[in-house]
Amino acid sequence: MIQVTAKILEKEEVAPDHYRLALDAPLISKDASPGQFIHVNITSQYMPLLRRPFSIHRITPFGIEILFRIVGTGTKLLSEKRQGDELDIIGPLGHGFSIKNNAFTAILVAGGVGVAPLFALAERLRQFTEVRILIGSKTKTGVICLEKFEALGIDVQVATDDGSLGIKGVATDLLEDFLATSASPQLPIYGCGPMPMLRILSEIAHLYSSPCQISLEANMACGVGACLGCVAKIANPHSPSHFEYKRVCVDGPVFDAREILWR
Amino acid sequence: MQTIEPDISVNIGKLKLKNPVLCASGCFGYGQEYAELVDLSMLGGIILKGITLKERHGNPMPRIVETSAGMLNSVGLQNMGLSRFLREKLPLLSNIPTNVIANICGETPEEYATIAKELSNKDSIAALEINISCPNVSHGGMLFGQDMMLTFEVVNLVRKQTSLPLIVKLSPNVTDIASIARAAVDGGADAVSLINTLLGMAMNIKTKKPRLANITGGLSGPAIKPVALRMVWEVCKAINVPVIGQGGIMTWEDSLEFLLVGATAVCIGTANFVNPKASMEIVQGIKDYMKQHKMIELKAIRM
Repeated sequence: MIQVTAKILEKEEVAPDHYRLALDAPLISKDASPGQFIHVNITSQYMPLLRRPFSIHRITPFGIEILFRIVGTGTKLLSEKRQGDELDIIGPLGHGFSIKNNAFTAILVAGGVGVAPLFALAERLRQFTEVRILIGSKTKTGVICLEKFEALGIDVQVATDDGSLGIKGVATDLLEDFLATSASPQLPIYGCGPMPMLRILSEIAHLYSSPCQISLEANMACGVGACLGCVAKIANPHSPSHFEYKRVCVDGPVFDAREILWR
Repeated sequence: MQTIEPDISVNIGKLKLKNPVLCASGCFGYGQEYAELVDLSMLGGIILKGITLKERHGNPMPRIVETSAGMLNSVGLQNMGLSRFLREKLPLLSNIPTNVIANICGETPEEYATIAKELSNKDSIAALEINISCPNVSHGGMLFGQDMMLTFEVVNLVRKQTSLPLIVKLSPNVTDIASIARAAVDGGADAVSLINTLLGMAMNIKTKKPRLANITGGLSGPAIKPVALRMVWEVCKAINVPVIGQGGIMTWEDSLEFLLVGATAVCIGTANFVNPKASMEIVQGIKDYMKQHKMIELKAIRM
């Protein structure tokens, strides 16, 4: 991990309230792997005070890309940055997806802006395996990166809550349908999205004995494992209480779905 | 014209720091977490994450909430406990090229004493900070730091177990911090550090629920600096041992304010999260300021 000042090379509004930034950060990209994140100082003022973590959307020889949705003050300010502006960033951070080189089809399941880290993952996975992505969103304007995945030759299926694109339903409905009809057992699943979706995803993966890795989101302070502000409840049979709190920033953000205690 | 490199070393009891800048407990892990981003050898010292006798899971999520120019935390002293600390973390501390100060916290005065005894003959631990001010635990912690007699009792019991320099970390959540500081000195403290976080709260107006799972938490960051500075000023007037000032320090200019009211050293907490290089930049900023004003000793700042 390093702290660098990175210039914004490209800025694109990919959908209403959704932005993609390409950052000039070759020293970060050379060590980055899918599922990791960067920690961005959005302003040198004290409002908002803390850095904001963003999963790495794309890894290129020149740097990295992030993809985010405006959800509050920090992301709003970030969306107002322009091409050529500089950002103080730290990365690559966190424990990303473990990628096993096997012949199975990989199934990626995204909820909303959860597609962000899955694009970097898809670019990596498709080098040696078939990749399929299932994207869920409230409505069709929130379905992002569809064409980008298709351009990689990846099979994309879409579900929207209102049925404005793809099936009417959620991404995990697509997953259940796919697994129920698939001849190959135990297909590896990779997910990112809201917690309720990830919970259902984990249950489905468990039902089909599929290995499942999920990327969690959390508010963070330090981002490097020092403050213990961002933790997830993880099963630990060796602990008297059978659980422990693990840091999303260094032990995650990607966890094996079986480890997560949802209650 | 040759500029003389100013001497910015300070003494905390018998502990000599090469400069007056420390990184605060709970904000800097065990040092290793920041080793790739910070040149630890540039710091006066680091204060480790609080250690308790038994392992603590800490509080449920959410544990942190951003507020106006600050943040609330309610981590709840999550740590691996003394025995695992000795096994897993202590061996790594000898690689840290600066003073390492252990922060200790107990549910009873005896627990503080036990931890202090265990840590007092370890080469890599240069001093102890007694945490009598954690606002996020239900037993011990801040309760000791809110009572003069209990403060005296804890410090006095720890004092009997160790010859290491003792720093007592004070809570701002008291009526008269100077009297607590005096009790700590009477108990045998070599120094006091203040302030720990201010007890605070934030509500989510959509869900109508508290934004922290633990309901209340400790406020830190630039928002609390004026309160911290006032309390450091009060304590500096009341006692004759070194005072380590902390609370919302983000820059070298902030640090100077604390040194001006009498602090011997400063401690950097939340600023590490915003800019990991803050502590290094503060050391450099203090040096540059002194050079610019042709000061050769830190105490010249106050003249």
